[in-house]
Amino acid sequence: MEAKHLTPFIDAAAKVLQQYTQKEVQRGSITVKNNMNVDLDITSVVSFSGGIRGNVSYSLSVDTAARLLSYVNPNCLMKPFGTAARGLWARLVEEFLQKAAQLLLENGILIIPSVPTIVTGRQMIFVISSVQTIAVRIETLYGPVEVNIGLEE
Amino acid sequence: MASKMQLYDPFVKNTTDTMAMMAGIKAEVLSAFGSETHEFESLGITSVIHYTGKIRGRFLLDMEPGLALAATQNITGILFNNVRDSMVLATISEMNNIISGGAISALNNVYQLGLWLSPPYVFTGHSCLIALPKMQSASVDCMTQYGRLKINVAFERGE
Repeated sequence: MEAKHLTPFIDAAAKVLQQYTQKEVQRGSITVKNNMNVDLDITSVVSFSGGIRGNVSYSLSVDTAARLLSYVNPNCLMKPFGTAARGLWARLVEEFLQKAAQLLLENGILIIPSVPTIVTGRQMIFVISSVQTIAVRIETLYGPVEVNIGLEE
Repeated sequence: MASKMQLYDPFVKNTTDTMAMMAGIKAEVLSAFGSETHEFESLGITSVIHYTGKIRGRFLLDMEPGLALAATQNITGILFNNVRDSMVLATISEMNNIISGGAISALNNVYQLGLWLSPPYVFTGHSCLIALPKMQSASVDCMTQYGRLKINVAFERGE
């Protein structure tokens, strides 16, 4: 997997989160996973096709979601990760992908993202790629968001 | 343009055919397609694949753990007892790829939709709730001797 294909998905999420929270966010180091065990409660997966094909997921805990989303929209305070929070998280993830698509297009790569699927649960394990998955944590003031990227090459 | 029912049918046919041919498991369709709410609980192991073209959408294959284990055992010839095993997850994911590939080919041949598949993903966990905001979907329930199977299909207009 080439860095120029991966970094737009991470940079895009960091920029959108920073824009909405109006606080600095920090990117952790990149790790390679053969199995994608998710110890966070909420995962949103988006598929994309076009110049590159694959899946990208964004995961966070219920506590992080409550803090982050209620800052972005105070209506999400009323019910932890209820319908309003899910809709807002889906919208944010769509914005991550729009931004990533824009960054990739600047490098001459066109992608077509899907609508996000949101999965909540405990002790989840995902396989988003038949090869390797690249993982990065983005630290926000409200808690970490884990990004996993699986590209088919 | 085809009706949604005409778009859904190849997914059901390819699911029952693939389940029979690959895994030797007969899946009996219990009902006609019914509208799904925006969220539903996973039966145990779920694989999802997205497609895009003149229209875009998503196919979801959801099954009980016993069925996933039996299908994997029948396909690979190896006994598994944990759906979290990577071979079980990979097998269900590949089944989804084959089912969707067949369905998409049929739809492209008949309706010239120019659909392309994204790579599938698969997951399992405890009390998994699946939500797909912004997309209406419909489901068919199936029964096999090893457990239940749900086929869920969604389409929306492309760009």
